[in-house]
Order: sequence, then C-alpha cells, then structure tokens
Amino acid sequence: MAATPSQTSAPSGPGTEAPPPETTLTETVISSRPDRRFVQALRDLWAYRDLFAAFVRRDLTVRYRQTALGIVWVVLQPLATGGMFAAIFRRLGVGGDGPVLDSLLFFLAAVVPWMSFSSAVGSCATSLESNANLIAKVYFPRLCVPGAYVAGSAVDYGFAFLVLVGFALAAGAFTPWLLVAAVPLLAMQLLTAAGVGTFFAILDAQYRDVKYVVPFVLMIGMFLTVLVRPGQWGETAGMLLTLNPMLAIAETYRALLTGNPVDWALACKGAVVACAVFVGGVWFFRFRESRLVDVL
Amino acid sequence: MTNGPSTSRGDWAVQLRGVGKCYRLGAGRAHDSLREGLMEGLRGLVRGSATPGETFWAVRGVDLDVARGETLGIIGRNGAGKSTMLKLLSRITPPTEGEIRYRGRLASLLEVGTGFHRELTGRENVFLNGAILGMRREEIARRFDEIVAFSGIERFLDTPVKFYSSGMYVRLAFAVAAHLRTDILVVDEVLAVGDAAFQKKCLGKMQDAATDGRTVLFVSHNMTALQRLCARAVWLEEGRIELAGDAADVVRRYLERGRTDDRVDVDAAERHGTHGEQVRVCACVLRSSGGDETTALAFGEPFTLEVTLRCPATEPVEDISIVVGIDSWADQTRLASCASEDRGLIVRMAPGERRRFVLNFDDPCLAPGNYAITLALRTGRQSILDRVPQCLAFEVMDVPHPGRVLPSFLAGAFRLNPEWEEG
Repeated sequence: MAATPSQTSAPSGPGTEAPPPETTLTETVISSRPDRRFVQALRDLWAYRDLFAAFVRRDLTVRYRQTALGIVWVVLQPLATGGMFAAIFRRLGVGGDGPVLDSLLFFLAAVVPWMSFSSAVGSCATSLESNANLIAKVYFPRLCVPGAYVAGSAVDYGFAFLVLVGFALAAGAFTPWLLVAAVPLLAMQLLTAAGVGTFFAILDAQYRDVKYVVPFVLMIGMFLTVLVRPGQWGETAGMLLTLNPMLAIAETYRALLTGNPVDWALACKGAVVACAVFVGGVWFFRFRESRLVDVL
Repeated sequence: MTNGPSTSRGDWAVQLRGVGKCYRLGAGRAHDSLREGLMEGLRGLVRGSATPGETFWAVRGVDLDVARGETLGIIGRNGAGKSTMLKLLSRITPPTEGEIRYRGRLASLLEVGTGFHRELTGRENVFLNGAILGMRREEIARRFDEIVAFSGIERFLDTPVKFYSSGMYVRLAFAVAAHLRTDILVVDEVLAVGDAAFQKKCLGKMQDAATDGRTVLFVSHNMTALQRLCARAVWLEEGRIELAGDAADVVRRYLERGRTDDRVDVDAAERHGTHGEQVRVCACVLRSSGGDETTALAFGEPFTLEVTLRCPATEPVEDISIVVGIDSWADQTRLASCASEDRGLIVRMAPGERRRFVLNFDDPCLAPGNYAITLALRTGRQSILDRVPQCLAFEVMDVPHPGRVLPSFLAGAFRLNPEWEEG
C-alpha cells in the first residue's frame, strides 16, 4: 500500500493557530536507554508529589475505614506483642529482671519500631501486585506505590510511639531526648523500610514467590531485632548482627529509656546501612521498573 | 514501510522516531498468553539468557509526528499493534528501540475510573482519580464543582462508590477525565461506555479538547466518532504504519481492506454430538460488494455469503436444508434467520461431494454493530445434521455505503424502511 506522506491535516477547529509558547513546555524523552530515564524519574517523582500524597491518603483511609477500632489497632498490636515478649522472655532472663514495667518498656522499645517497619515492608512487597490494574492503565512514577505505603507507616508510627512515651512516663524513664532521637531514628526506619520494601515489591511483580518469602523474612527479622543484644555475640556474629539498622534503632531507644549511654558506633553503622539499603532498593527497583508492565 | 512525515517544523507535540516494542516469547510454548510467554522469556533473561526466547515485535519502525493541536486517530485490527502503541504513547511501557518525545503534559485515558477505590466516597475518588490522571490537587479543587455538576451525582458524593450503580460510577469517572487539562491526551475507547446521551456528552467534551488547541491521540473502532474528531488518521498493520493521512481517506481504505483475519476454520470447529458426521459445513465466507472476502461492511453495503458443504458419509444424504442465523455478537441473541428450503432449495449430497452455495443480500438492513453467523443443516422438521454456532463474525460499520444514507434515527438491529404517506 502506497504511503501517503501527509502532513497537511488542518487543525480541527478555530483557535488552534495561536503561536505556541514553545519555551514553557517541557520536552520529555522516552527511550529504550535506561540511563536517560533515570534523571527523568527523579523529576517525575517530584512532579507527581500530589499523586504520592493521594496514595498515602488512600492507603490510610482504606485501612481504617470499616474497622471498629480504627487507629487503636496501631496501638494494640505492638502492646500485645511487647507484652507477650516481656511475659515469656523475662523468665528466660532476657530484658532484665527489674520491675515488670521496665521489662515491658525494654521490649516495647524494639517492638514499636519493628511492627511499624514490618507492616510497611509487608504492604510494600505486594503493592505493585495489588495495584496492577492501575499500573497497566496509566503512567506515573512507579515508586509512588510502595513509597506511599512507607510514608503511611510513619503516621501509624506516630500513634504507636505515643504508647512508648506513655509507658516511659509511667515507668519514670522518660527523657526529652527520646523525642529528639525519634526523628532521626524514624528516618532510619523509613529509609530501611523503603529500601527493603521496594526491593521486594519489584521482585514480587515478576515472581509471586516473594509473597511467601516476605512473612518468613519478617519473622526472622523480628527475632534478630527484638531479642538480639549486640554485646552477647562473638566478633564475626556480632559484626553481622549489628548490620541490622532496626537493631541499632531498638538499642538506641533502649539506651535512652534506661539512661545508659547511647552506642554511637552502632547507631552510625545502622544509619549508614539504612542509607545503603535505601539506595540499593531504589536502584534495584529503577533497574527493573521499565519492564514492570510487561511482567506484572 | 515508514510513513513519518519527516518535517523540520518545530511545532510538533509528539514525535516518534524508529519506535519498536519487542516482546519475548517463551521457546517451545504455545503463545496463548503473551504474559506467560513474557514471564518465561524474562526468566531466561535473568538466568543469563540461556533460554533461546522467540521474539515478537508488536510495533516496529514507527516514525510519526503529531502537530500541536492536532487530533490524530489510530486504527487497526486487533493485534495490529494498537494497544502496544497506546501503551508506548502513554508511557506505560518503554520502547525497545527508538525514541518518543513529547512536549508538555501528557495524560492517558485508557479506561475511565482507573484507580477508583470501592471503599472511598465519590468525593475522595474524584481527588484520587484526578491525581492519578496527573492533575494537581488545587487544580482538582478548583474544578471540583464543575466535575460534580457534569457527573450529575451531587447527592451521592459522600457515599462510598461501592454503593454506586455502574452508570453512576462511569459518570463520575468520566467527569473527572473530561476536566483534565493537559497538552496531550491519549484516549482509548472510553466512549464505549454509558448510555447514548452520555456518550454524546463525552464526544462533545473530546471535541472541545480538540478545538482548544490540545493534542489528542484517539484510538477507536468507532469510525464515525473517529472521523468526526480526527483530521488525520494512522492505520496500523502488523505493528507498522500502513497508511497515514486524511482521516476520511484512511478510514475508507481501511474498510476496503476489510478484516479478513477474524476467520474461523469452520470445518475444524468443534461440533456437538454427531453433528457434522454425515454432512458438514466446511467453509463460510462473507464477500463485500466488490467480491473481496471481508468481515467489515459499510452500512447498507450489499454482500454475499458463501457456504460450502461436504459429505463425509458413505451414503448419500437427502433432504438437506441450509439454515443461516444472524446473531448479536455481544450476547449471541438470534436476530434473524432464513432457511434454503423456503426458497425451494433442498440439497442432496453424494458421499465425498463438495458443493458451494451463495446467498445474495442485495439490500441488507442491518444496523451498524457486530454480528455473528450461525450455520445449521437440517433434514425434515427437527433433525439437525450439523450446526456451527457463531462461525463467522462480521461488523457493520457506521459509515454508509456509497449511495446509501445512514438513518438519522436507528435503534435496534434492523433498519425498517416503509413507505410513508399521509392517509
């Protein structure tokens, strides 16, 4: 069939002849070369900040709508878990042999951040799968989806943290430094959750096996965070175990609550690992993102 | 065949250069599901590309320039690369080769109500959906009243959409989409929803978008809408541009070509019980007025139907009547039927014989729409010798055949054409 190189089509209505304000329109290039798309992705993520916020709002609203207790769940879950840990492990000599309240506080200091982290990673991991229809129908920076779950977990964390503060006050262990430290510690927690979550999310998009792996990983992680004390292990094991940023977070909270000196080396190591995990997870996500729709 | 007008003009809104999209199919597997094929292929890739994956170019070598303020229609058969093209244009999937450039904000409407959440109220969904389509929050807030008025569901704004009827849902969803203000809009057949009045409203909105000086890329099977909206059209065939140019011209050429690949192998089609053992329908072909095999007819276009029978039995079969039924494609409702015996044609088939019968429809009155033909062979009153349901699908386009006029009002499957007089 002969080609008709036609470019003569008249614009389909009046008012289209207005001189185009070329300079105001940004030019977007979509190519097969990923390096060029990476820069674009950062710009896009900023351009889509409203969508990011809308996702956060959606996830929070949907999660607590039609639940009788609503936000209370965020408080009850770590409380019950912390209580259980305290009840069981006090007998085994973990978490001190002081007053029960101290024991509870010891475990809450680890369980509160952990539960928030774990729910963020858990929902992140299946986020692309559960938003598959959306992803197949409209473009937006895909990082928005898992990212929104992590951001939403910060809200949950706010409420759970109040429980920790409440118990600290009750036990007379409260220090204003707890509030100060909460900011960088929460940042660390969110960075780690985002890194781990996006890693699992993009893998889950292609391999549904991830869904079965994540709960298992999170269970192991809980024990490694809540029950492990850095000083109790040999050099190699201790070095490996303290790579866990969540352990650094838990230990810092514990130090503040018991009035012990903060282990700055551990905290810094945790912060570095958290940043590395974040960058690594996001990089991995970006690396595989372009193929996402074709495999989801 | 490349068809991109290689312009040096600077006022393009969308520019495609050598764009191709390749899918990897699993080796040695049936390609029933592209997705499964993809999964296999990619696994191979991850393992170090040990699996020799078969590749499939859904789109290749496409050069295209879309001028600012232009409405461009994209047509093509199913499987011609339209969906892939849509995904490429709307950034959902990146090209395997080549480059797509566009200027300004781009939004795609491949579906209305993308991202609507059941649990959220109408109000919440307007904001969510607007954000998904790329609108800023204050932009949605500014147009909120307008959106709600357009949808006509003011009373249910604070009700979760899970309690909405499907009509209400679509109205609200389209209302958001219609108030989208972007420089470039990629639209899939979103108009195929809602009742006629609402569809008209939607078409009007799209026309507004076009006259606003925005660039619209429109993919549709609705040739009338496409011709009304678009000045220029691109016809895709096997992932390449077959023809680009004036919309009316491209649509006409496209219809002429017909969509002959929707054919089913009638002889091999599955039969019920002993059907087809004595005498069997082995081919069914629809021919346009020009004599070409087709599955797409213009409105009012005369056509012929060729039915071929063969006789696998060892004994002759007597007293055969050929029954042709026309069904609605959408729900398989029988709309009309005819039997050869009523016109005095009763067939006798000798063993091994093969005969062809031609039915001439000189003045068909089928309304635009999709239909299917069911063939049956009967003997006597009740006994069915063979039956092939929906063995041939065809479409009556809403474009009139030369010399015919598309009725101003046409509801139902048939046009009635009585003589009117005042008595």
